[in-house]
Amino acid sequence: MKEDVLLDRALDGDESAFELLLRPHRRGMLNIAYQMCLDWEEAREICQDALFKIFKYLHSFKQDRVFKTWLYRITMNTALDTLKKRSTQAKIVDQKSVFCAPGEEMNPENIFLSKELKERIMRCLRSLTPREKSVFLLRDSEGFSIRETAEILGFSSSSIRTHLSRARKKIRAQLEK
Amino acid sequence: MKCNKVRRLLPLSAGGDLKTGQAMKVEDHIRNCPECRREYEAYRSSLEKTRIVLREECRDWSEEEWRRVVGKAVVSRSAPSPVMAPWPFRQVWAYVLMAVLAVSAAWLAVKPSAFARYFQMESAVVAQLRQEPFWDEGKKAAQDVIRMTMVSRESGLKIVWLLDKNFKWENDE
Repeated sequence: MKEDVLLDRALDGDESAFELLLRPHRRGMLNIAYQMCLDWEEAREICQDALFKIFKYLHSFKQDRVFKTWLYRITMNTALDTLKKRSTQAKIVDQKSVFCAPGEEMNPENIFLSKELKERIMRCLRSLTPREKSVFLLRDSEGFSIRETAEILGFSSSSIRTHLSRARKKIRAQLEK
Repeated sequence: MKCNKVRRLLPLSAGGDLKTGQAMKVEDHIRNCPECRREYEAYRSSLEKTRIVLREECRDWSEEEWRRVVGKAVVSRSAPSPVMAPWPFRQVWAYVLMAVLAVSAAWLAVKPSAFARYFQMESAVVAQLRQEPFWDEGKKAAQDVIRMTMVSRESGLKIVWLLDKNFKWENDE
């Protein structure tokens, strides 16, 4: 079913249409929320808040815009608000998830190296400012273009490039330590 | 393009985020400059590693959890707003306050003098003075007599002039 049809039905309060409208983006929403806060529980709460806002303000969505961009904007803003509220540093990364592709066998040495690399990268992410992190994740993790990232975060393209450049420099410096 | 300028653009170039003109210039430069090419490769590698780790970290909702979360968002939005209590039971204190104010206003309109005393307050001292003047009408008040004393330094002679309130000489000691 087309997005605009689902949107109309969701505006009428149809829950299944709302669910179908969001289904293609649910994984992206959860992961961007996680990468922002580095805590799965908090990421779920962010998504819950974002979904509530999306449903609440669905009537204000202008159909000439891209729904995915609008959706990510709300999720990102919710995540940034959560980061602002949280005064302490990001909690320790969930140690249960293993850096290993599903079904792939890894020897202990590889597991150790990849775990170390993962921890380093997570440390890099923590060292970024919220703005740098959001730009970096949208561009390099979610694959949005510079223009789309600018639209989601409400900055100019040149500002996005500046933050992206800074974030990549920091990450490279951390990885080379 | 010089090396230092290219180095500044390398983080963006590694992700393919430069504008077309700049990107071509940077590509031309790194083709001929091994140092800058090495830097470029380092950025590419760190970016690639980060992307892989972030991709590996990805998770998805379980079907059950997803439906619960969506349902919650929809229900919380469509839940009816709390209905106001019918007229006689709405916040009683507000109505009592309004009634008191209305009675006061009516009283002020009917009998403004009743309020006047609250606004024309005077101190107890002034009120007492008003009732009991501290001077006697028959006598001269002490303030009406001006006494000037002059003492000579050489002889110690003392002259006291007593003048009335119009500076007319009355007596001297």
